[in-house]
Amino acid sequence: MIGLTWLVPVLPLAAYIILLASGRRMGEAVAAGISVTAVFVSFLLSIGIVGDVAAHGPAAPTVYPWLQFGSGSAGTITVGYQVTSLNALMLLVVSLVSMLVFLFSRSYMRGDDRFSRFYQYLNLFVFSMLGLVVSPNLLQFYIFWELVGVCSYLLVGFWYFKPEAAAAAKKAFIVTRIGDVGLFIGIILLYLSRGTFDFNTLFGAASAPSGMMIHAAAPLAYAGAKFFSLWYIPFAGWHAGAFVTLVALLVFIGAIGKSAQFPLHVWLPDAMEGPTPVSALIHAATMVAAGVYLVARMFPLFEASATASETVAVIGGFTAILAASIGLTQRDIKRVIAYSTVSQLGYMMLAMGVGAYVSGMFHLVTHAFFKALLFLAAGSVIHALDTQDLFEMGGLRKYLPVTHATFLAGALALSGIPPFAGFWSKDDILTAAFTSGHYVLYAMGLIAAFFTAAYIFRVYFLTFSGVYKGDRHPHEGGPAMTIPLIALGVLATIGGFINTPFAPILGNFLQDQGPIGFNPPANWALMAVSALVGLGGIWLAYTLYRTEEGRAERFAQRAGGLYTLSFNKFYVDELYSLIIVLPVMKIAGIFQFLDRWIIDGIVRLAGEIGYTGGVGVKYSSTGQVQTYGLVTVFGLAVMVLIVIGIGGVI
Amino acid sequence: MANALQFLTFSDVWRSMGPEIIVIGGAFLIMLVELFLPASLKRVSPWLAVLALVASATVLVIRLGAAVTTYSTPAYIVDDFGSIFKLIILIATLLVILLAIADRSAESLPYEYSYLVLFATGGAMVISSGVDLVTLYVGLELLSIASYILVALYRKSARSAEGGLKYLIIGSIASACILYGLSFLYGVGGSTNLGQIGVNLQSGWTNYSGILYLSLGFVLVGIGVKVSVVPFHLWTPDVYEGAPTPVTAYLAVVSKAAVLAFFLRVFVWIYGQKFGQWGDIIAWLSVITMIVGNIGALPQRNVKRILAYSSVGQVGYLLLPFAAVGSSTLLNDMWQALSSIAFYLFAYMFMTIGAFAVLAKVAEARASEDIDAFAGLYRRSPFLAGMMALFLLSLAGLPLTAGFFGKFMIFLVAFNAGQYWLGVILFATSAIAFYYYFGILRAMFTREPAGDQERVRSSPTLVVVVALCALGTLALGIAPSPLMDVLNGLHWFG
Repeated sequence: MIGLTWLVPVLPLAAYIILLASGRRMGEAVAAGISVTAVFVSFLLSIGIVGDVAAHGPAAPTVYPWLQFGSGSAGTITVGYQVTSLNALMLLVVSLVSMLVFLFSRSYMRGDDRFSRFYQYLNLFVFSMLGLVVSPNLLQFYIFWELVGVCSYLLVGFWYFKPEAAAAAKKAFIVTRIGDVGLFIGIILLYLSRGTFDFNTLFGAASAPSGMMIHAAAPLAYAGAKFFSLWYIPFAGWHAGAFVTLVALLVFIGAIGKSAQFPLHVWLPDAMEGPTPVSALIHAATMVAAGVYLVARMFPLFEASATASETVAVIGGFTAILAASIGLTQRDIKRVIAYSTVSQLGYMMLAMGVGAYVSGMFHLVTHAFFKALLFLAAGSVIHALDTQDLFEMGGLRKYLPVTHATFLAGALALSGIPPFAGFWSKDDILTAAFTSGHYVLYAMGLIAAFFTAAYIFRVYFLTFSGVYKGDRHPHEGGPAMTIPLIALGVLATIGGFINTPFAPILGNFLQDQGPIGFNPPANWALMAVSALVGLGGIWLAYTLYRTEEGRAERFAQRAGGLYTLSFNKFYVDELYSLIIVLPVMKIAGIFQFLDRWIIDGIVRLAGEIGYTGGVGVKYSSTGQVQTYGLVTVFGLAVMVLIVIGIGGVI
Repeated sequence: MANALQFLTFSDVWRSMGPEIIVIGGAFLIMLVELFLPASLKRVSPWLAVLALVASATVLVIRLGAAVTTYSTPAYIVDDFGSIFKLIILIATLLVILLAIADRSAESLPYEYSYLVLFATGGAMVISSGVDLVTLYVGLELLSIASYILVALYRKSARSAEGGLKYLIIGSIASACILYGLSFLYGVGGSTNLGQIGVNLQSGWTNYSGILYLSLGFVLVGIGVKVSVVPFHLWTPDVYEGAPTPVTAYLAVVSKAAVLAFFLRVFVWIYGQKFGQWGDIIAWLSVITMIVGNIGALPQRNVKRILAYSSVGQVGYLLLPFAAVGSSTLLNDMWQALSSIAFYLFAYMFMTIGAFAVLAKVAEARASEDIDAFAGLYRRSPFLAGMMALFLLSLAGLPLTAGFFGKFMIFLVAFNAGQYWLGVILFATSAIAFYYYFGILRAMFTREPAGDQERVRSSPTLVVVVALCALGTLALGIAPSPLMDVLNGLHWFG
């Protein structure tokens, strides 16, 4: 099966090409059918690959030389694919969620004018994401990394005629690009010091004593790279450790952008302007998890630098609590879930930062299940009600029984109530933070968990209990919507059992080549605390929204400034507007002036000269063969003078 | 000489000139057959030419990489340098003939073109392998004279006749210059054999440097005219415009490749030892050719003239690697330069013939070569519009196309040689080029078609030509390594 890995991303690509070529003439059923089938086969292959890896271990990367520009391996850029247990796991998660979302979209997007275009973009996205996962080197990884960004842009802005959607797409793209620049610089620095992009060789010497695998002050370690040596900045005098930290932090900046961590988290909530299946696929389960995946893939690099790992942990923990507290007050159902995603990604980063590699990946998997579920359920609600405002909903338990049941499962999983999936993974992370001595981060995670349970049950009570406040006749969206919901509901309920303290199946699978990072031991007391905190959050939501009319408003008033802060997302957007966007615009205004009147003037002058020159050339081509002959002879005379001059005769 | 000939058997000749024999023999055969064919069957003659080319290319490919073959006082050599140029020439000729078959407007083209093209190609192949001044010159004239006739092949078109005449006059000036220059070389070197001259000059250079430089100047000007190096390019737009489109494609690709082979062979073998002193001339010629060629295309509205000017600019790119390795004493640098030239020629061949093929079809549908004929092509034929976009983007050097890697290789050569300014000009002129290519793209995709909205129907042969060119353009753009590996592994001059 591992030999067929290339087929996993290629199938959605094939579907993309088919839809690109003839999508406009296809019926909705055909377009959706082709896409779902392609991803379904990818999913089956992924199962086979996971089985293969579990049985025989990872395979050596399969690569083909792509570009040769120097001697040796440093001068060869390869493309190909690689399967390790980490890649195999990601392949499975991505293809599974994609398949369910593809199915869901069949109903959700029904009747859209650009139905096949939507599937076309989705296919391109899935191809890019799967390609990213199997990349054997950083350069190929980066190409796909940018490609998923482009797809995210296309899909967030799918309803480009809505100004908010167009603005959100732009914001998502630009903000993540900031992170990408950091990542790219990191990749280049790594290449300059290591002479390779390959993950395998990059970390080949990672087990060297004290993690000093990078000889920062050494000249280029490979010969024949005359052309690169020109750009090499040797960082003379730098301690190798400082260089490792720098590179790790640069790589992490890329992850911050993609995984919407503080301070680049602002794009994700806005990206909710895209169609809901897009939010479920890209902004919950796959693309935003790519940042965490990047950190996991580059784990040896982070292990080599304590400063960098601490930064990852602190940013993760802070993001978790910040986003959770914002989620408490939002009115838009999708925005609450979006902030929840930001917060949960923070947990994953926290895990990676404290060295709990397996816990982070475990949470990535369970989160993909329950967050995709919550988004799809929200999509089902929006589909039925045509509003996203929580305060226009209510009482939907009666109308949407399947959506209600599955949403509840997702909410319980997110809140960390045993035995639902989220409990096991989140508790794993909290235990890891506590055991590794990060007590402050543990406390932050615990408070964030309390907020999490509170905001998601606030959504639950406002949506499903009470009485319906609108005037429509909500109903379920048919089997294409309910089947994915049920499938994800089951996974959100029992998915945690892949890695319980009694049977760490996932842990064993991921560490088939020996232990990676730090595996927290089971701690029953901490487990009980986590579960109680989750229940406490649910209790808070219940008392505020179910017991007495107006209690929530009074509570909000009493909270005063805190409430306003949370409701306005701590004014981060406004702050950026003030300290970044506004000055940049001001400067841009000055530049625009310079540009328009001075640079543009020069450019236009150059253009005029070029054009006039062109006209001159045109008229020099008079059509008179005599002229041509004359010019040729004249040119000959000049040439002869020049060569004779060189020859030194005159 | 007579002594040497006595020992030559046919199998010796076949071993060294097999592909040429097939092409020239094929040409004679078609010439004869064509006389006796009834008018209704005359259209098989281009297919016979296709057959001859395929056979010749097969023989050539089988030989590729075999040991160098010469015969006694060598006038002819089978080395990788010659073989790779011959391969380019054969593939390009094949594509051009297919294009001529597909081009309906070329129906008025007399079928004589099928053997004329073969004669010209035979000449081009002789140039690639000749190592004797006389052999080289005979090859050059064979190519040139056949080309003059080809340009004027539209007997009823005044523009075609005019183009033919101009090409003849200017081409004769060029031939005269080359011949005159070569005569000095013979006088000083005491031989017509390149290798022998090279050996003799090692000691004679200092005594005769004035005359040698004079010969260099004359040969360079003659070659400059033939490959349209600025300022000897003035005939190019007129002749390209007047010639039937397939012939234009032939001139732009095969003619240039062959004369470039002449240039590289003579200049590396004979003048190479004093490269450091005259190399800058090539650099400057390359620079003004890139600049003037690309700027000249800006105000043009006739797409054929745009492509003509663009092909002038492309010659600048092709000269650049040779100019850049200049002062290098490393043989490897020279090989790298030759690989990059050969790579660019492959890329140039696919994208140029492809662009001319689309142009031929569009011009036929609208009876105009003006840029307006391309308006709304995307509606009228998405296939042709998409392919044209690919060829233009490749000519402009966008990534994932052959043109990008071609330019990238050239850039690397310039960079390695430390001639950064040449690289900078390469990029700057490519940026200018983007402007006029973009004009065509904009016409195809954003403007409404003027006049009738009827779809442009492409014949299967045209689709094949365009698809082959597109395949080549994309394949070299996405996976340049296989070709690069072959080129890097060549033993150029044995």
